[in-house]
Amino acid sequence: MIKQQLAQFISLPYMARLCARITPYLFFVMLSVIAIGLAWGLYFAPSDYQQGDAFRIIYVHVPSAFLSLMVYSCMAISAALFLIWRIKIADEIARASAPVGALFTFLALVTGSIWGKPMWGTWWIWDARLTSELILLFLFFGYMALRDALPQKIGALASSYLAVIGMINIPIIHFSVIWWNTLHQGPTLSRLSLPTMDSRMLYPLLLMILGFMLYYLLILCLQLQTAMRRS
Amino acid sequence: MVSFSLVFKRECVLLLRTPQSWLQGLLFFTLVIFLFSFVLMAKQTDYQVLLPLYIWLAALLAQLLAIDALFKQDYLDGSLDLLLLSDTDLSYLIIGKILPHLLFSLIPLLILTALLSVVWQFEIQLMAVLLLSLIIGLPSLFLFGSIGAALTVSVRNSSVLTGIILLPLYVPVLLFAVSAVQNTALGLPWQGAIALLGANFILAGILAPIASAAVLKVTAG
Amino acid sequence: MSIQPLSYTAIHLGCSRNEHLLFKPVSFTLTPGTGLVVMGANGVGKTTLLRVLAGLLPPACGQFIRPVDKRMAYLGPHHAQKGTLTPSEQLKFASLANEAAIGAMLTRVKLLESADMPCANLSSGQKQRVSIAQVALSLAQLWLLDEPMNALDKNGEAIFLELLTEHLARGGMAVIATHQEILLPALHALMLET
Repeated sequence: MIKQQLAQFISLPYMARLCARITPYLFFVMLSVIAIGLAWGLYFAPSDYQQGDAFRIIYVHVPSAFLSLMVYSCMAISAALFLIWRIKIADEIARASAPVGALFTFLALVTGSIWGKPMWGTWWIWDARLTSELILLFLFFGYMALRDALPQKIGALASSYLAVIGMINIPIIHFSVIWWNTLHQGPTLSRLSLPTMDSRMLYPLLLMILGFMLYYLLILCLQLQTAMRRS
Repeated sequence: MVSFSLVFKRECVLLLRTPQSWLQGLLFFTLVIFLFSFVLMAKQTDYQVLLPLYIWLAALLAQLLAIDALFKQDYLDGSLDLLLLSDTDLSYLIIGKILPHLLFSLIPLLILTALLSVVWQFEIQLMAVLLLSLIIGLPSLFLFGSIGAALTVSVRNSSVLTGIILLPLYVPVLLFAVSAVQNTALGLPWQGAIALLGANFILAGILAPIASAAVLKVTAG
Repeated sequence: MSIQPLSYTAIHLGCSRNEHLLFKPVSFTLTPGTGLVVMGANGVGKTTLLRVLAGLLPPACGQFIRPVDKRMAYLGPHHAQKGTLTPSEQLKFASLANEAAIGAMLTRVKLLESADMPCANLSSGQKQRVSIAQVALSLAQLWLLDEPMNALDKNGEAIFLELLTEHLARGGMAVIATHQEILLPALHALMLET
């Protein structure tokens, strides 16, 4: 009984209907959260005593970087669910996640290097976090390219395997890059560390992260409706 | 019905009959090293630090070039079906298939590296660590590579795609290996990096045959 | 060369290529000593059906129930041969048969004189004979043959039919996709329709 209800709940038509219903609300909530977050972060929050106003890019950079990893995790978990139980909706979520994740990763890279210019005096250094982010971008690209290159059904399964294998590797990649960095560069310039942040700076940041999550959710909702129409 | 030993022997015979398939990789390796050292070493500084890195990069590129073809020919001529239909677990058969390729590419490459180390007058310790890192690192690359080759087995002109897929998997191996070699050249401890390389090799050894088998069942159907 | 008596059953089995169903789902049972000749127009899905039966592809609907000890030999649209191997090596590496059995089989399919010639130098009819020999040596219970008589001459066809008859008489089973007519009492026809 419960199993049947669950099966119905995770079926594509049901989810697509649900998504269609919540999409407009989601859209307005997301817009207002991001608008408040941006206004608060860019205007009302005090400027950093060391970096001045340049630090304000974290209101885009940190949420993008956070979301890029979160989206990849969602993608890999969905892919695993698809591989184990062949839940079609999980595959649709994984497929829809990839471009969003790639976008966030790209945004994190761009804002990271823009921030790097005043901080390090150069657009790019092989900082551990930036390097990991770049490799993450390749993981997203690989997923999308593989899916694109194969016929629909095979592509769905093969790219799901790739997503799961990538997930196993992300900690290793991250560790290897940090290890490499500590060996070969002097003390890296440390940025703001979040826990010691002033709450007047922290709250808008959390709001922005929430806003970005809502954006991801919105894209998923829209994509599921498209998937429904396609099938 | 094929078994591990049959697949292994068959692959060895095939590689012996068509030496160009693995000699090409070796030639490419030599070519890349030549270009690197020729273009970048004009200043003749830091020979001992940079040259081993070029060797590692060249080995990685040669390996990436070769790995794409691992299952492709067997897929196209139908031989892969025989492996898929066997009662023996596919991951064993895949090890039987990979192992000859690994040996045929690794051994000549090690000999060549040893020769180059002598020519370039590397210190004994540097040479030893370099060879050790290749012995542990290249099989890891090969194992991870087999997953990529399995994923793209039915894709035409897949070498770039395979490269994109494999790059993230290759990065840790390259970084650990290169730190081991570089640390040795600088007189720093190298054991930690080699240990991490070994750990990565164990992971690859466990993960890759299972993953490749699971993937091939999907992609080569 | 005894084979355990076990049967294969297909229940409402359908196959798809690129997400669309190829033919009306089929049901059949194979009991020891019987075979199935799969017929149908080009592109109806004979090759796909055979790959599904072999377990190389998942079915689109229905199921194919195999015995636990699934010993199947598959002759696909490609020869599964390496140009640099000789027919006798090809057989040696593809089956667990010993030298004597391989020699005897090569004599039967009349390839003894080219047994040590690389497969690349063989004609397509000869390659087909190697593939048939490979299937016959496999000791498999179920033979899945995709156009086994392609490129075979009259003599080759006769040899194939002889081997097939022996296989069925031993209690083996076969599913054969073909355009040619095969007249053996143990074979039933299966027409694939869209």
